[in-house]
Amino acid sequence: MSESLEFTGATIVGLVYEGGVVLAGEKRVALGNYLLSKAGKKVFKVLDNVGIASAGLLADMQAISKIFAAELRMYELINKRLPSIRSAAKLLSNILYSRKYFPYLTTILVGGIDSSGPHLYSLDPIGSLIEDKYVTLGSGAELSLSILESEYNEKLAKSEAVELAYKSVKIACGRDVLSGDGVDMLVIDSQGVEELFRPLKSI
Amino acid sequence: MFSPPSMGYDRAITIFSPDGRLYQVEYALEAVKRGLTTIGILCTDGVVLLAERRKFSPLLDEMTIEKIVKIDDHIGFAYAGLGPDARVLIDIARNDAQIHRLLYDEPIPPETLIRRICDLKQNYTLYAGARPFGVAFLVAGIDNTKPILMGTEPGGAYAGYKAHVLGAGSQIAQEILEKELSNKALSLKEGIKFGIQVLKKAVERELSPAEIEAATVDVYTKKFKRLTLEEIKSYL
Repeated sequence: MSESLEFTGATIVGLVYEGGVVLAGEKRVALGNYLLSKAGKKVFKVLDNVGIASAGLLADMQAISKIFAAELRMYELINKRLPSIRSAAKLLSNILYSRKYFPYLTTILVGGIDSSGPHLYSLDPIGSLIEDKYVTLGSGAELSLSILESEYNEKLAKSEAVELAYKSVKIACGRDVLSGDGVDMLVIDSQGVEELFRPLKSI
Repeated sequence: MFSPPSMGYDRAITIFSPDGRLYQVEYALEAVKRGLTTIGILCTDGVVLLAERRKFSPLLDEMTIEKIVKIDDHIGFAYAGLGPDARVLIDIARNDAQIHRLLYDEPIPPETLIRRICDLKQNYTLYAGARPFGVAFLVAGIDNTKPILMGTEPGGAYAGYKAHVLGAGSQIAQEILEKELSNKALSLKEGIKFGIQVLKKAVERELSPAEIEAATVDVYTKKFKRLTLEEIKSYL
């Protein structure tokens, strides 16, 4: 199972700061030791207040992000409001669990902001749901986690949070051959979702 | 193949009449009008539902007839019309409310639930072979922190109200409610007291506490709560 999750490899990172959430992922798509692309997208905005980052099979990542976005838009239309992040994450969890016996091969971070503040959830391929302040997933997870583990605190400002997320992904790219080629980021706060890209600078 | 119906069938089955009406739906409304009086009042801090309880026969245990029911912690329905039709829709509403909790890990917004029930009611106005539901509901609920009162019709239409009444006493009650509540809102306690008075006037007879069914949803607890006999007595 873990081999297929690292099939295309990835490092993705999510962290909650005071006032929002940052989701970051690198851009390398590697099939074994062939680098297929340096322009892979692993971080997606799915609604005005929700974003996801996923690691695993690229096709599943893209399919699930579209399905999730469609379901969230339906929720917004029917219920005449944006969903809470808890509800959005739970919805994704249900979609994943409905395919328990033929799963989407992706681990996913759901991050966003609602009336109760910023929230981050991590999900495994079959939909387990855990809320956290910071999470790393993918083939470069352990490398990037070490940065967050030593430098994260709950009182980060937005710019500090973005720098920390970028650094965390960058470090992993340095030693995980399946990760690299730049960092995509989503910063979600009460103003909306900001999409950023940063190339990897040599240390 | 189904041949066009001859004149008069448009009253017997749910298809359009030449003047654009669905007679079966209108007849369903008549069934509602003949039901027991039911009142809903939207207050600043909650919603109150009141219904008349009538002992149709000395052998009847009228306390087993519930016209105001809990759908989920934060939503209650009161109905007027055919009891069995109401029962079926109430069961479906309860189910839908739980499904929403499973899918989204949150209580269902009252309007979303009403929409689903009304979609179902509308469905039964599409087919000639089935009759519409002969029930109208008053829905009291809390949406986040906001109290909501909505009314549904047999055809599937719904709207929000400051106050609404269904059933036999609706003409009398409607006049009183329009006069008092068109431009002002009461607190929940005031609303209960006022509602009971309106109910008595609407049924045109003295009501003992046991003949009044009442329930509230309030913004503080966000819960549906049935009033006990003692509580009703205290408001009389």
